[in-house]
Amino acid sequence: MATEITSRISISKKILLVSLTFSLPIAVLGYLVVSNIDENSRIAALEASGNAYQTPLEWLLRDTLEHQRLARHCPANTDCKAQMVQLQDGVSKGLVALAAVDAKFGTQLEFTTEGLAKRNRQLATGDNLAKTWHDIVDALDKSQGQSTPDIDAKYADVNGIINTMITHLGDTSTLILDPVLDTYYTMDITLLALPQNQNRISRMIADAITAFSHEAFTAEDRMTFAANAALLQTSDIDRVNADVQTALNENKNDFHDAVASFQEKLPAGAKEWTDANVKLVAMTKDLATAATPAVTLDEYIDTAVKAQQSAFKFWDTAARENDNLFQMRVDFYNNRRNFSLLMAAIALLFSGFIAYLVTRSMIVPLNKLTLTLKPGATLLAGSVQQISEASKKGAHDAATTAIICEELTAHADDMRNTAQNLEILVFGHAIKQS
Amino acid sequence: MAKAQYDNLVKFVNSYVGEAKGPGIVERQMKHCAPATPDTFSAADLQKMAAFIVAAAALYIPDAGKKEEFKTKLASLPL
Repeated sequence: MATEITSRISISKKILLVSLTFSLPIAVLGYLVVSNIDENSRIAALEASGNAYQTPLEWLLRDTLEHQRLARHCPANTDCKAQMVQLQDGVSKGLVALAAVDAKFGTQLEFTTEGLAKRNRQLATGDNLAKTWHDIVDALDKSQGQSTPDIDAKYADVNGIINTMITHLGDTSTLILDPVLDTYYTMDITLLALPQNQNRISRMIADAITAFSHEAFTAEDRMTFAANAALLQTSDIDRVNADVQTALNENKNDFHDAVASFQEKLPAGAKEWTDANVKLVAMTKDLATAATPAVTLDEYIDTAVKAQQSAFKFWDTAARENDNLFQMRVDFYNNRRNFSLLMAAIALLFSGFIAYLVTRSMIVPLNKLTLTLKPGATLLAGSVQQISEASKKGAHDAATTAIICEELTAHADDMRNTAQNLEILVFGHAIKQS
Repeated sequence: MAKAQYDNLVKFVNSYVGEAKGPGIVERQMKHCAPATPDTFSAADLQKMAAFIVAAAALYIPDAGKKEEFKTKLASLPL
């Protein structure tokens, strides 16, 4: 059956079929190569969407931590009520922005019932965050703006939800698995180190409020100050500065040269943040060791708030610079994919052209053979008929006989030439007659 | 002009016996109108060699009706 079908296909179509058969595995390999490139590009884009999702969470973290601080302790000569109303407005805007990024990237980043349940993070949703926040606002209304242990617990819930959401987006956006060194170390700053620093400073303020509420610092207060200073130095300042240095060193890579904006803004942001945090470390160390505190609680809080604000500012700078690098990586992969497809198309055209030339070199002599053989058969039959008729009549027409001889001789020459061309076609050379 | 007339004849013969054989048939019968060459070929030359061309071409045309048609059309071939 297969032989019957293939015998009806012309030789040019057969050669085309053979070419297509060999093209098939190449096409599959090409598809896999392009898919791989697209996957790398998709990962970079996914990481950028993780950053986009974290942005409103950072705003919410900033405003809720600040709101909590003011609810716990209102510094002298400060209109805390007005500031808290302003912060509530900021939180409301942050929740709206969070809903917007959730609508855009929520499914992609698995902020879905299934995605969150799979990781035991069912409570880490924008809706739950909004509800818990509104509980705090309602409770503060009832307590006339004074924090209570219950309200503090609610603040802790809000803080927990935000931090869990940041962890979740880090996992699902693959930011945590970033494969390139400059973006990896910048990611360590934005996803892990700075949120940790922002939360730590809030705890340090809370610890200071507790310590300053005592008549004199207890040994436990001093230990807490010392521990906080040490952690702030090693876990935050040293870590972030090492990350910054590595990110800058590794900025020149396969995807781009050293990026001017990255080289300029990341260290500048890091320096401002480091200066503010180093000041807080020094002040905290003093409180841990000095016989009498050299600063008041409000002065300490002021320094801590400045360090915390610089952390949020630095987060914004680092995240935007990382976004820029992600986009460069996406562009790099898109260009590579387009280049690969272009090269594949050129290679295909070239191989198609070669296949055409080869096919033509076979078709032309074969066609000539067909054109020679078919009239040759008629010639032989016609010649035999004429000779036979002349024999029957017993009269030979010399002119006709001469024509027959000429045509047969010419045909014999044609056949000889065609046979030689056929030999060359089949064997690559004419076969010598023995 | 003469070459065009020769080509016209070859084209006509080709239409009956095929391109593989037509030019050879005409070329081989040119001796009957010597010393004419393709470049000097004329209607008078065709008249001299027409019978030979018919005889040669007829060997390649199996159908008797077609042979007759070839002969008639060749006689009135506009050159």
